[in-house]
Amino acid sequence: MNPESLKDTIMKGIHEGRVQMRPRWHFVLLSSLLFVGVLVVCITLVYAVSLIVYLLHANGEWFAPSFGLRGWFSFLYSLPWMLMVLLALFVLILEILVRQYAFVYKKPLITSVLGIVGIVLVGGFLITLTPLHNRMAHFDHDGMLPPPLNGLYRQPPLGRSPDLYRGMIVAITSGQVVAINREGTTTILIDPRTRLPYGSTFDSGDLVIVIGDYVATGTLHAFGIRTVEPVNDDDVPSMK
Amino acid sequence: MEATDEQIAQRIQQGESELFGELVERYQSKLMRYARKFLADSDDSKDIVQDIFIKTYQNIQSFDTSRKFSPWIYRIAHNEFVNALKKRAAQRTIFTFDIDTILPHLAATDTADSAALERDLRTSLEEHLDKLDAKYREPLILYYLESMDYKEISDILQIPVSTVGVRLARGRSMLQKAAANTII
Repeated sequence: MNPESLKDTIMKGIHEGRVQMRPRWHFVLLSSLLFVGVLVVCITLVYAVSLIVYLLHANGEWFAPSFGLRGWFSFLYSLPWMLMVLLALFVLILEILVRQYAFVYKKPLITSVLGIVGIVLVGGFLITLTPLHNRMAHFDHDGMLPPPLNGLYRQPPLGRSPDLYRGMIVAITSGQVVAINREGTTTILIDPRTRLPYGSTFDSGDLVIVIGDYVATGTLHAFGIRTVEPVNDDDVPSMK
Repeated sequence: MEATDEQIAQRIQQGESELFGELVERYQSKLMRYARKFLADSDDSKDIVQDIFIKTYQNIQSFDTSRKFSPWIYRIAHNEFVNALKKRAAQRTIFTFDIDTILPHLAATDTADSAALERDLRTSLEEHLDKLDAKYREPLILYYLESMDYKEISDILQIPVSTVGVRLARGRSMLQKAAANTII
């Protein structure tokens, strides 16, 4: 090959305007779009993780593992698996996007994926410490949330474990407590085999979660029972 | 004192397009050699190298002049070569998902005997390079023929530095096997 010919061909193309330099703003726009894309996917992931944690808290399923293996099954049953598959897809999209950056592609894939998962989980848990979801839940109950968020808090995308009950104690008698929630009144039977991971002291007004079997309509034999903290200030199911 | 590649690129960015010819002169023989080795003497090497220079000129405003120019233009070359190889039916699967980039590896270190074997390796490179998969061929070309270091190869291939070490080690081993088979 004649070394001059390649240079001449290219320079001729440049002189004649057939080969043109893309303006700097083109690349600034592309990197801005990439950055915005990363930010949007990241925010979506953090929000979704915090939503799952919030809803599990609100449903009581978050505390089910404290009752042992049966509690774990109940917890796993209630997880929103479809949403979690969607989240895994979003993690993959985020990995593809951030792999454009040198500080990411220089790391093994496993490191960057674990880094993303770690950041998203920590971010998600931190968000649950803020009043964001309480406010969103209020907006949702008032019908003020736009799609696709409307209804997320009223009809959470969780599997509803038939074993788990959440309500507020209104009366205590020997061997049983009476609790109420939005569905009505339930009598909870407690016997010596009932697991009490956080003690046996209950008071009227305590919010409890119970894992057990219904022995009759409105009567639940407790496999385990424990008190939980209200998710928000007006988290008093009986008063609704 | 002769202007560096980065200084020339900066002046081109500022409008001195004429200077692009200087970059073409500096890189055309290197890129032609890279193309011939990587594409295994493909007939379309010249056209591909021409496309590399055209893309370099079109995208030169995206070059960060505080960084080295050579890994940047080699990255463009790498992308063009990969696209060319993808067009070849037989090589379609070479750049699929690579397990080497998933897990961390210990950094490879050069040993005394590896230095001693380097001359033999260079001979093997000339004779047996085309027998290797492209993913092992490319780091060997960049390291031994283009004198790039691990970090530069990592930037060009956009893979972890430790993966560069792994591919070089495997590539060397494959070359030695190929050379041994030839002797037998």
